[in-house]
Amino acid sequence: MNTKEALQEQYEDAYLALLMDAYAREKAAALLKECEANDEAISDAFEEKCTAAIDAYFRKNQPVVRRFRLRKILLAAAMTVVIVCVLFTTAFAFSERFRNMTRNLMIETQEQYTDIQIQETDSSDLFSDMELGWLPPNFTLVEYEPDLTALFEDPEGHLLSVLRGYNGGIVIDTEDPDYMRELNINGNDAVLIYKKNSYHLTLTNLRLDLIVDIICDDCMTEEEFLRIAEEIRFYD
Amino acid sequence: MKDQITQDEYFAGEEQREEYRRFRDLMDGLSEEERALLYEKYVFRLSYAEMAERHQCTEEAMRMRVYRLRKRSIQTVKTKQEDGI
Repeated sequence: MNTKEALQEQYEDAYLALLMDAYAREKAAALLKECEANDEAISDAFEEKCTAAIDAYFRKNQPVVRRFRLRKILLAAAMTVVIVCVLFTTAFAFSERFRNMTRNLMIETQEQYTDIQIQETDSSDLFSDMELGWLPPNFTLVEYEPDLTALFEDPEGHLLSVLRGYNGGIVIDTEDPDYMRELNINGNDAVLIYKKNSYHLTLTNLRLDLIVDIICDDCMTEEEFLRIAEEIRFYD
Repeated sequence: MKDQITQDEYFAGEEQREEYRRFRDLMDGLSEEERALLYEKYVFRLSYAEMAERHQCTEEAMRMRVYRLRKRSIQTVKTKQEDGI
Protein backbone atom coordinates (compact mmCIF):
# COMPACT_ATOMS: atom_id res chain seq x y z
CA MET A 1 0.00 0.00 0.00
CA ASN A 2 1.59 3.27 -1.07
CA THR A 3 1.08 6.69 0.49
CA LYS A 4 -1.62 7.68 -1.98
CA GLU A 5 -3.65 4.55 -1.28
CA ALA A 6 -3.25 4.99 2.46
CA LEU A 7 -4.43 8.60 2.23
CA GLN A 8 -7.34 7.53 0.02
CA GLU A 9 -8.36 5.00 2.67
CA GLN A 10 -8.13 7.64 5.41
CA TYR A 11 -10.22 10.00 3.29
CA GLU A 12 -12.92 7.39 2.70
CA ASP A 13 -12.98 6.51 6.39
CA ALA A 14 -13.30 10.16 7.42
CA TYR A 15 -15.89 10.94 4.74
CA LEU A 16 -18.01 7.96 5.74
CA ALA A 17 -17.78 9.02 9.39
CA LEU A 18 -19.03 12.49 8.39
CA LEU A 19 -21.90 11.04 6.37
CA MET A 20 -22.82 8.70 9.23
CA ASP A 21 -22.73 11.52 11.75
CA ALA A 22 -25.06 13.64 9.60
CA TYR A 23 -27.33 10.63 9.07
CA ALA A 24 -27.46 9.79 12.78
CA ARG A 25 -28.25 13.38 13.75
CA GLU A 26 -30.95 13.68 11.11
CA LYS A 27 -32.57 10.45 12.28
CA ALA A 28 -32.36 11.55 15.89
CA ALA A 29 -33.93 14.92 15.09
CA ALA A 30 -36.72 13.21 13.15
CA LEU A 31 -37.41 10.84 16.02
CA LEU A 32 -37.46 13.69 18.50
CA LYS A 33 -39.87 15.63 16.31
CA GLU A 34 -42.09 12.58 15.96
CA CYS A 35 -42.02 12.09 19.69
CA GLU A 36 -43.03 15.69 20.29
CA ALA A 37 -45.76 15.50 17.65
CA ASN A 38 -47.22 12.47 19.35
CA ASP A 39 -47.01 14.30 22.64
CA GLU A 40 -45.45 11.31 24.26
CA ALA A 41 -44.00 12.56 27.48
CA ILE A 42 -40.64 11.21 28.50
CA SER A 43 -40.63 10.17 32.10
CA ASP A 44 -38.29 12.01 34.46
CA ALA A 45 -36.67 8.75 35.47
CA PHE A 46 -35.90 7.83 31.87
CA GLU A 47 -34.55 11.29 31.10
CA GLU A 48 -32.32 11.19 34.17
CA LYS A 49 -31.02 7.81 33.10
CA CYS A 50 -30.20 9.13 29.62
CA THR A 51 -28.55 12.24 31.03
CA ALA A 52 -26.47 10.13 33.39
CA ALA A 53 -25.34 7.91 30.52
CA ILE A 54 -24.39 10.91 28.39
CA ASP A 55 -22.58 12.58 31.29
CA ALA A 56 -20.69 9.40 32.03
CA TYR A 57 -19.62 9.13 28.40
CA PHE A 58 -18.36 12.70 28.20
CA ARG A 59 -16.67 12.52 31.59
CA LYS A 60 -14.63 9.67 30.19
CA ASN A 61 -13.83 11.41 26.95
CA GLN A 62 -13.33 15.04 27.84
CA PRO A 63 -10.72 16.54 30.13
CA VAL A 64 -11.85 18.65 33.03
CA VAL A 65 -11.96 22.27 31.97
CA ARG A 66 -9.93 24.49 34.23
CA ARG A 67 -10.83 28.10 34.38
CA PHE A 68 -7.88 30.33 34.85
CA ARG A 69 -7.82 34.00 34.14
CA LEU A 70 -4.81 34.87 32.06
CA ARG A 71 -3.55 38.01 30.60
CA LYS A 72 -4.39 38.40 26.96
CA ILE A 73 -0.86 38.07 25.69
CA LEU A 74 -0.25 34.87 27.65
CA LEU A 75 -3.53 33.44 26.41
CA ALA A 76 -2.62 34.20 22.84
CA ALA A 77 0.79 32.59 23.30
CA ALA A 78 -0.75 29.52 24.93
CA MET A 79 -3.31 29.19 22.12
CA THR A 80 -0.57 29.39 19.54
CA VAL A 81 1.37 26.65 21.28
CA VAL A 82 -1.76 24.47 21.51
CA ILE A 83 -2.63 24.96 17.85
CA VAL A 84 0.91 24.15 16.78
CA CYS A 85 0.90 21.04 18.99
CA VAL A 86 -2.46 19.90 17.64
CA LEU A 87 -1.38 20.45 14.05
CA PHE A 88 1.88 18.66 14.69
CA THR A 89 0.19 15.78 16.49
CA THR A 90 -2.46 15.45 13.81
CA ALA A 91 0.10 15.47 11.05
CA PHE A 92 2.24 13.05 13.03
CA ALA A 93 -0.69 10.71 13.57
CA PHE A 94 -2.02 10.69 10.04
CA SER A 95 1.02 11.04 7.81
CA GLU A 96 3.62 8.32 7.73
CA ARG A 97 5.77 10.54 5.55
CA PHE A 98 5.64 13.30 8.17
CA ARG A 99 6.55 10.83 10.92
CA ASN A 100 9.52 9.60 8.95
CA MET A 101 10.67 13.13 8.13
CA THR A 102 10.46 14.09 11.82
CA ARG A 103 12.40 11.04 12.93
CA ASN A 104 15.01 11.63 10.26
CA LEU A 105 15.31 15.25 11.34
CA MET A 106 15.88 14.18 14.93
CA ILE A 107 18.51 11.69 13.89
CA GLU A 108 20.26 14.26 11.72
CA THR A 109 20.32 16.93 14.40
CA GLN A 110 21.45 14.65 17.19
CA GLU A 111 24.10 12.56 15.55
CA GLN A 112 26.51 14.14 13.19
CA TYR A 113 27.76 10.82 11.86
CA THR A 114 24.52 8.83 12.00
CA ASP A 115 23.30 7.51 8.68
CA ILE A 116 19.90 6.03 9.41
CA GLN A 117 16.88 6.53 7.14
CA ILE A 118 13.35 5.53 8.10
CA GLN A 119 11.26 4.70 5.05
CA GLU A 120 7.61 3.92 4.38
CA THR A 121 6.45 0.34 4.80
CA ASP A 122 7.00 -2.00 1.94
CA SER A 123 4.00 -4.18 1.12
CA SER A 124 6.16 -7.29 1.14
CA ASP A 125 7.39 -6.65 4.67
CA LEU A 126 4.25 -6.50 6.78
CA PHE A 127 5.21 -8.42 9.90
CA SER A 128 8.42 -8.31 11.91
CA ASP A 129 8.63 -12.03 12.68
CA MET A 130 7.23 -13.61 9.55
CA GLU A 131 6.87 -13.08 5.84
CA LEU A 132 4.09 -13.96 3.42
CA GLY A 133 6.02 -15.84 0.77
CA TRP A 134 3.14 -16.28 -1.64
CA LEU A 135 -0.24 -14.72 -2.31
CA PRO A 136 -2.66 -15.57 -5.11
CA PRO A 137 -2.22 -13.40 -8.20
CA ASN A 138 -4.13 -10.10 -8.43
CA PHE A 139 -4.51 -9.66 -4.66
CA THR A 140 -3.30 -6.24 -3.53
CA LEU A 141 -2.94 -4.78 -0.05
CA VAL A 142 -5.89 -2.53 0.88
CA GLU A 143 -5.65 -2.23 4.68
CA TYR A 144 -2.70 -2.69 6.98
CA GLU A 145 -1.84 -2.39 10.64
CA PRO A 146 1.86 -2.96 11.33
CA ASP A 147 2.59 -6.34 12.86
CA LEU A 148 -1.10 -7.04 13.37
CA THR A 149 -3.19 -7.45 10.25
CA ALA A 150 -3.14 -7.15 6.49
CA LEU A 151 -6.20 -7.13 4.23
CA PHE A 152 -5.86 -7.91 0.53
CA GLU A 153 -8.42 -7.62 -2.26
CA ASP A 154 -8.60 -8.85 -5.83
CA PRO A 155 -10.25 -6.95 -8.73
CA GLU A 156 -13.51 -8.89 -8.22
CA GLY A 157 -13.78 -7.69 -4.63
CA HIS A 158 -12.79 -10.95 -2.95
CA LEU A 159 -10.99 -10.39 0.34
CA LEU A 160 -8.08 -12.16 1.97
CA SER A 161 -7.17 -11.33 5.54
CA VAL A 162 -4.05 -12.25 7.49
CA LEU A 163 -3.97 -11.62 11.23
CA ARG A 164 -0.95 -12.10 13.45
CA GLY A 165 -1.97 -13.27 16.89
CA TYR A 166 -1.42 -10.95 19.82
CA ASN A 167 -2.17 -10.87 23.54
CA GLY A 168 -2.07 -14.60 23.72
CA GLY A 169 -4.71 -15.73 21.29
CA ILE A 170 -7.20 -15.47 18.48
CA VAL A 171 -10.94 -16.12 18.51
CA ILE A 172 -11.86 -18.97 16.17
CA ASP A 173 -15.43 -19.56 15.08
CA THR A 174 -15.83 -23.34 14.98
CA GLU A 175 -19.60 -23.41 15.21
CA ASP A 176 -21.38 -25.41 12.48
CA PRO A 177 -18.60 -25.53 9.90
CA ASP A 178 -19.14 -27.21 6.52
CA TYR A 179 -15.96 -29.04 7.34
CA MET A 180 -12.99 -28.74 9.67
CA ARG A 181 -9.61 -30.47 9.49
CA GLU A 182 -6.52 -30.54 11.64
CA LEU A 183 -3.33 -30.21 9.59
CA ASN A 184 0.40 -29.97 10.00
CA ILE A 185 2.04 -27.34 7.82
CA ASN A 186 5.83 -27.28 7.78
CA GLY A 187 5.91 -28.75 11.29
CA ASN A 188 3.32 -26.29 12.64
CA ASP A 189 -0.14 -27.32 13.82
CA ALA A 190 -3.03 -25.82 11.93
CA VAL A 191 -6.82 -26.00 11.76
CA LEU A 192 -8.63 -25.52 8.46
CA ILE A 193 -12.30 -24.53 8.59
CA TYR A 194 -14.65 -24.06 5.64
CA LYS A 195 -17.82 -22.24 6.58
CA LYS A 196 -20.29 -19.93 4.85
CA ASN A 197 -18.33 -19.89 1.59
CA SER A 198 -15.08 -18.84 3.16
CA TYR A 199 -11.85 -20.54 4.19
CA HIS A 200 -10.40 -19.99 7.62
CA LEU A 201 -7.01 -21.32 8.69
CA THR A 202 -5.33 -20.92 12.04
CA LEU A 203 -1.65 -21.72 12.14
CA THR A 204 0.38 -21.96 15.33
CA ASN A 205 4.12 -21.64 15.66
CA LEU A 206 4.97 -22.84 19.18
CA ARG A 207 8.64 -22.03 18.81
CA LEU A 208 7.90 -18.32 18.34
CA ASP A 209 4.73 -18.45 20.42
CA LEU A 210 2.85 -17.10 17.43
CA ILE A 211 -0.60 -17.64 15.95
CA VAL A 212 -1.51 -16.67 12.40
CA ASP A 213 -5.10 -16.42 11.27
CA ILE A 214 -5.95 -16.43 7.55
CA ILE A 215 -9.45 -15.89 6.18
CA CYS A 216 -10.40 -15.82 2.53
CA ASP A 217 -13.54 -15.76 0.41
CA ASP A 218 -14.21 -18.86 -1.62
CA CYS A 219 -12.46 -17.48 -4.70
CA MET A 220 -9.61 -19.97 -4.94
CA THR A 221 -9.02 -23.68 -4.58
CA GLU A 222 -8.27 -25.19 -1.21
CA GLU A 223 -4.77 -26.01 -2.49
CA GLU A 224 -4.15 -22.36 -3.30
CA PHE A 225 -5.45 -21.29 0.09
CA LEU A 226 -3.22 -23.79 1.88
CA ARG A 227 -0.26 -22.65 -0.18
CA ILE A 228 -0.53 -19.20 1.43
CA ALA A 229 0.10 -20.85 4.80
CA GLU A 230 2.73 -23.23 3.47
CA GLU A 231 4.77 -20.36 2.07
CA ILE A 232 4.79 -18.31 5.26
CA ARG A 233 8.38 -17.94 6.45
CA PHE A 234 8.96 -17.38 10.14
CA TYR A 235 12.00 -15.48 11.33
CA ASP A 236 13.83 -17.08 14.22
CA MET B 1 -29.78 19.48 20.78
CA LYS B 2 -31.40 21.51 18.04
CA ASP B 3 -34.90 20.66 16.96
CA GLN B 4 -34.01 20.53 13.32
CA ILE B 5 -30.59 19.65 12.09
CA THR B 6 -30.15 20.47 8.45
CA GLN B 7 -27.70 19.14 5.94
CA ASP B 8 -26.39 22.67 5.50
CA GLU B 9 -24.56 22.36 8.80
CA TYR B 10 -22.45 19.53 7.43
CA PHE B 11 -22.17 20.01 3.70
CA ALA B 12 -21.25 23.33 2.17
CA GLY B 13 -21.95 22.66 -1.50
CA GLU B 14 -24.90 21.28 -3.40
CA GLU B 15 -22.72 18.44 -4.69
CA GLN B 16 -21.92 17.28 -1.16
CA ARG B 17 -25.57 17.55 -0.15
CA GLU B 18 -26.51 15.47 -3.18
CA GLU B 19 -23.94 12.87 -2.16
CA TYR B 20 -25.37 12.84 1.32
CA ARG B 21 -28.89 12.31 -0.03
CA ARG B 22 -27.64 9.33 -2.03
CA PHE B 23 -25.91 7.99 1.06
CA ARG B 24 -29.12 8.41 3.06
CA ASP B 25 -31.05 6.43 0.43
CA LEU B 26 -28.42 3.72 0.61
CA MET B 27 -28.59 3.63 4.41
CA ASP B 28 -32.37 3.42 4.38
CA GLY B 29 -32.08 0.43 2.05
CA LEU B 30 -29.61 -1.50 4.17
CA SER B 31 -30.63 -4.25 6.53
CA GLU B 32 -30.93 -3.52 10.23
CA GLU B 33 -27.72 -5.39 10.96
CA GLU B 34 -25.73 -3.62 8.26
CA ARG B 35 -26.93 -0.26 9.53
CA ALA B 36 -26.00 -1.30 13.06
CA LEU B 37 -22.47 -2.14 11.93
CA LEU B 38 -21.98 1.29 10.40
CA TYR B 39 -23.41 2.99 13.50
CA GLU B 40 -21.10 1.00 15.76
CA LYS B 41 -18.03 1.68 13.66
CA TYR B 42 -18.50 5.31 12.66
CA VAL B 43 -20.83 6.83 15.26
CA PHE B 44 -20.09 4.91 18.44
CA ARG B 45 -16.47 4.31 17.40
CA LEU B 46 -16.33 0.74 18.64
CA SER B 47 -13.23 -1.29 17.92
CA TYR B 48 -13.37 -4.32 15.64
CA ALA B 49 -12.87 -6.51 18.70
CA GLU B 50 -15.87 -4.97 20.50
CA MET B 51 -18.02 -5.28 17.39
CA ALA B 52 -16.96 -8.89 16.89
CA GLU B 53 -17.97 -9.67 20.46
CA ARG B 54 -21.37 -8.05 19.99
CA HIS B 55 -22.07 -9.86 16.73
CA GLN B 56 -20.46 -13.12 17.79
CA CYS B 57 -17.93 -13.46 15.03
CA THR B 58 -14.18 -13.16 14.74
CA GLU B 59 -12.40 -9.82 14.63
CA GLU B 60 -11.13 -10.47 11.15
CA ALA B 61 -14.56 -11.44 9.86
CA MET B 62 -15.88 -8.18 11.30
CA ARG B 63 -13.07 -6.19 9.69
CA MET B 64 -13.95 -7.73 6.33
CA ARG B 65 -17.67 -6.98 6.72
CA VAL B 66 -17.03 -3.36 7.62
CA TYR B 67 -14.54 -2.99 4.77
CA ARG B 68 -17.16 -4.28 2.33
CA LEU B 69 -19.81 -1.93 3.69
CA ARG B 70 -17.46 1.03 3.55
CA LYS B 71 -16.45 0.28 -0.01
CA ARG B 72 -20.05 -0.25 -1.07
CA SER B 73 -21.10 3.05 0.51
CA ILE B 74 -18.32 5.08 -1.07
CA GLN B 75 -18.77 3.39 -4.45
CA THR B 76 -22.51 4.05 -4.46
CA VAL B 77 -22.04 7.72 -3.68
CA LYS B 78 -19.21 8.23 -6.14
CA THR B 79 -20.50 6.05 -8.98
CA LYS B 80 -23.82 7.84 -9.14
CA GLN B 81 -21.98 11.12 -9.08
CA GLU B 82 -19.98 10.11 -12.15
CA ASP B 83 -23.12 8.88 -13.92
CA GLY B 84 -24.75 12.21 -13.32
CA ILE B 85 -21.96 14.23 -14.99
